[in-house]
Amino acid sequence: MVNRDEERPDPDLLLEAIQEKENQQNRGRLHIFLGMCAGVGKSYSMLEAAHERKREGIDVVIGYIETHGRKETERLVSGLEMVQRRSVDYKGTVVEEMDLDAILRRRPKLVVVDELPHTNVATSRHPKRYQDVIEILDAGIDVYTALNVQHLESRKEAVEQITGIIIRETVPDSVLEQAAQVELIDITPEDLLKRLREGKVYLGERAQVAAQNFFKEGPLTALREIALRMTAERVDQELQGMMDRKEIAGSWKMTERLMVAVSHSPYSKRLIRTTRRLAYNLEAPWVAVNIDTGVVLSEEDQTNLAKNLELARELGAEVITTTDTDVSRALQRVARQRFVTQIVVGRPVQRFLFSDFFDGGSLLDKLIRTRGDVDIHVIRQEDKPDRQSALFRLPNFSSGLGQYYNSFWYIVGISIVAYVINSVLPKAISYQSIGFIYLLGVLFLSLFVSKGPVFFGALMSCFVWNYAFIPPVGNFSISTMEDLIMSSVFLVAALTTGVLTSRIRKHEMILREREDLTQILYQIVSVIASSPRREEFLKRVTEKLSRILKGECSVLLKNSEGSLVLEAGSSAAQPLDEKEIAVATWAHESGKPAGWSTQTLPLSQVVCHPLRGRKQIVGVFAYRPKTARRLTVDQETLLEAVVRQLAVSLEHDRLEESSREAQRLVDSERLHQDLLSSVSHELRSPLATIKGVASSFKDSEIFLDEPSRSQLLKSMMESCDRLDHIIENLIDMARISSGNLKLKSDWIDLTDLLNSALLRIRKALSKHQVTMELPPEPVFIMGDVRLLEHVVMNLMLNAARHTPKESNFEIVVREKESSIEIAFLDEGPGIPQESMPKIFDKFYRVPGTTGGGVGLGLSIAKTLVEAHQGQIRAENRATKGAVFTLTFPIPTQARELHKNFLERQL
Amino acid sequence: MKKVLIVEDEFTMRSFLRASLQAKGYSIVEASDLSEALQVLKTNSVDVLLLDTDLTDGSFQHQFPIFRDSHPGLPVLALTIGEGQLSKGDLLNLGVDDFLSKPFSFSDLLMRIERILSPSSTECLLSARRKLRVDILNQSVFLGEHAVVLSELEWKVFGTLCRHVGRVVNEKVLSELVVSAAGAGDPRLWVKLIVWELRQKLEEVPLQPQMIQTVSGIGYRLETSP
Repeated sequence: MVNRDEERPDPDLLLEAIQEKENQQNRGRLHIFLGMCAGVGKSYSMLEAAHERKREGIDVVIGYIETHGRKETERLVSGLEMVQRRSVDYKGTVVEEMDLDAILRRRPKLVVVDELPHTNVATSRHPKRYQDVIEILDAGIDVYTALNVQHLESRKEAVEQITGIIIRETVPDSVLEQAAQVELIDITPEDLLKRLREGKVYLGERAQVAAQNFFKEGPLTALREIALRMTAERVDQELQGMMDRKEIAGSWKMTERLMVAVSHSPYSKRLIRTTRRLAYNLEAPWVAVNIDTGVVLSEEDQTNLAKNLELARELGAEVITTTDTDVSRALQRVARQRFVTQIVVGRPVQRFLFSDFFDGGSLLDKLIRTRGDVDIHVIRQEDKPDRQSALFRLPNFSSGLGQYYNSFWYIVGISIVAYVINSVLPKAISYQSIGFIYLLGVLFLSLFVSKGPVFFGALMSCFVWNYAFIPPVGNFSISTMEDLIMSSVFLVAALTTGVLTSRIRKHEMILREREDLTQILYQIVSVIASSPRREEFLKRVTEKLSRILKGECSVLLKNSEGSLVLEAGSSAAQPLDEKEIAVATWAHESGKPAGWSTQTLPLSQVVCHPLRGRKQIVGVFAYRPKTARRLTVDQETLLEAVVRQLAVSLEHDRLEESSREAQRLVDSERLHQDLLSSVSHELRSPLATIKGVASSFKDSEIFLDEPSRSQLLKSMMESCDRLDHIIENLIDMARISSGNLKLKSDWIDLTDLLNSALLRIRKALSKHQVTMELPPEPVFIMGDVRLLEHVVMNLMLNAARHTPKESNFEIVVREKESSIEIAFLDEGPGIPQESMPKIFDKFYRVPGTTGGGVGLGLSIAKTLVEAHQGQIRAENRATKGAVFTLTFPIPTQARELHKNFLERQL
Repeated sequence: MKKVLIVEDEFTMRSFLRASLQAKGYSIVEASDLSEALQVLKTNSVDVLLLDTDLTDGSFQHQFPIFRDSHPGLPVLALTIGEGQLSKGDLLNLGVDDFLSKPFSFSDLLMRIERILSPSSTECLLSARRKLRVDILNQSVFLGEHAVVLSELEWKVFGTLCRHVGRVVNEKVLSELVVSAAGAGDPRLWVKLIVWELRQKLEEVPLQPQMIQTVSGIGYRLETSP
């Protein structure tokens, strides 16, 4: 069967290759000076090369160098600029560390950093120096650094075996792979030993100690071989890489993909390292799978599992966690999904007698049996790391002693019941039937406890039954063949049912847990989907997560000035302090998780995950656990899923915001167009009048008598007023649509308001019968008098335009319990029913009306009144004409003050 | 003959003002900005200054305070577009004596100029028809033969309006006057209440006040009537 997918270039890989290329252009170049051990002259060569660069005119500084008091090396240091080290006071002693920030500030072209595997003091940003180096590279600065082969993660064990020395400080192989150049500093073991004797490697006593452990010809030769082989492998890789890059657009054959199963077992580390090595040599991607079989892990095992998975991730594996009761089935599933061609497993340890019988053989057996097209590597396992014997391990001790204890008393209880029945009805019940009571008991037991305790219960009941009921009573011997067979069958039946029941239960439990997880995710997603406002869903999601993860969650988003700020969504009792904000900022800028339990700033109280949407990082999710406890794999999965969901939603939200902004622009564009078309006419007609009148006055040939002169002048004045009014409305409209309508609030005497409006448009209403009705007490509202004057003027002008001359126009002010109503009643034609809903729309004019108007007056009135927390409504009067009513809230202070005032007057 | 200095940078407006005011018997000198006005004032003695506050070079805001310091007694009538950078209240605070919003009618302008030029007196006849007169020195108001009783607060406001009859008195000035005498509460509201009471006592039709006129958003002006 040919899988076409395998022959097609994988888009992800293509993208990766392209990104790698891009990254390499912006990133600094890493140059590693690799040695087989200390004293081969790495620092010396490195400094020499640095001097060379300096002579070429490149800006070189020393970030950190360790001369070990070697004279030649010290001489080389003196000619180069050195970045001051940082003194850190840690638990009473002063430690000198490389000053990462100083280097980043200094921004040289090239920096020399010695001792790559160095472990930083705990308060530093990164626990390891190689992480500092990665940050320097990310900042676009080239780095020269030195590394011994024994510090490489993948070679650590081999070196330990050769030299017998435990190596604590390691560097992941991925760092070596990032290097643009690896330079092997090679000298023969004899020369090295000679140098050691001459005191050129270590000085004084240390030389003696070193000579005893490390510096013997045998180990040195082995180390040299490792170093040489590594360099050769790398050269091979580089060649391959170049070929790939060239062929990237052409055919692409994905050859191999490796997979390793990872558990909490200490063996796993070895399996991971081996797989990494195999994958590297085959130049194949690899997958590390953890299968959650539903077994409850102890705190320690959880930590181990997390560490193992982290190691795999660090070494470049794609880490997958999946849930299944059957490990081999899960492995096959993942292998199929991921097109895995090779599986790496450990050689099985000795297993308990019944285990193979119940589980259908060891994992290895099952894998080999079921899948033909996958290569299986079996890796030998050392006996050393496992502390528990095979027998002890098998009955799943992790289920807790409590269950064994309970099973014990349960069987004792069953035995008492059996004894009572036997003694009350000795004739009616035989000892065979008693066996069934026990079997029933074991069956029930398996409903409540796990496999181990069921085994225990089955064995115990078998023994008690034999001892107390099967003749001869009082010892373990069985006299008849029939009894022997019966008790054997009993044992097998009890064990089988127990195992089967507990397996079903476990399955159920896993399903339930999964369902819980899905349920939580579903709830969170639905919260996100159902909350219209960002603040709201952030608040609810963080609250929910805080409960589940037992800690404080907050979301930080970037504000318009570019700094991270806490959003409304936060369940934290204390806001993040300055240091924690720094962690968040780092996470945001680097796009990687930072803080507690990560590789960056692990001493912090919080862990920050960048919220990475499809296109950009929108913010940071910060989680501060109540107790410093690693999250379980499930919780981490949940956290990751939620963070992803949040990121996508927030990004969506942000996009929506900008599209709203765009829509607003479109709207205002349309408004401008409407405005232009409708206003140009309205502006021109009064202008035409003015110009016409003025020109007729200028023309000496036109003779005008006195009455027609004053008539013309009057119409000219009216046109001016009309123009003035249009311009005022336009200014209001512009202010409203620009969104920065600011109210200059002050007390307004309604008498003043109505009078000054009337005064300003007195000409327009001069033919109408205007009456005003006000309460006997002074009536005050709060508002912007200029804007409210416009509202009133617009309503009055409407009446003036659309109602017949000589008709009545009434303005009635009434004080209600908590509001003031101002009604404008006219005797015009009223508002047509179909126009009612649109009457307050912009540029809407009731069809068939005359008398000019832009159609802005009522729309402006409505907006302005609502800006004053007031209401405007239009109705038709029962008799004739229309009524517009304004309602404003009554300021209580005005009433009280008036009462106070009147009292003073008396 | 009274002399008017017109400071206006727009030519049409300036020629309209010149022609109309000359027709009404004023003598005119002109300047296009405040620094030019200062030069003109060195050689001319002027009775009133008509000042456009929206000079296109935007110099009004910076130069007017300096100008005011050098000529503190010269009455200034500001002509403003109203939507400019400065509100009318700001103008009064800067030391402008009165103002007129563009567009305005010529009769309004004439009235303002006359007001600003008429000397204030200690006695004032507010309405000849109603026989309403005020004795500012003795703080008393008479409607015909009867004295109108005003409270202390009411007199504070009314007396100030009388001293500036025909000109706008800034509301802020009034609220500062009553703030010490009045009790708790917003002094701006106090002023409005006092004005309301004054109208009840002194206006012929309190709902349509002719005498104490409101200038929206700025203050009040006391007008006399025949």
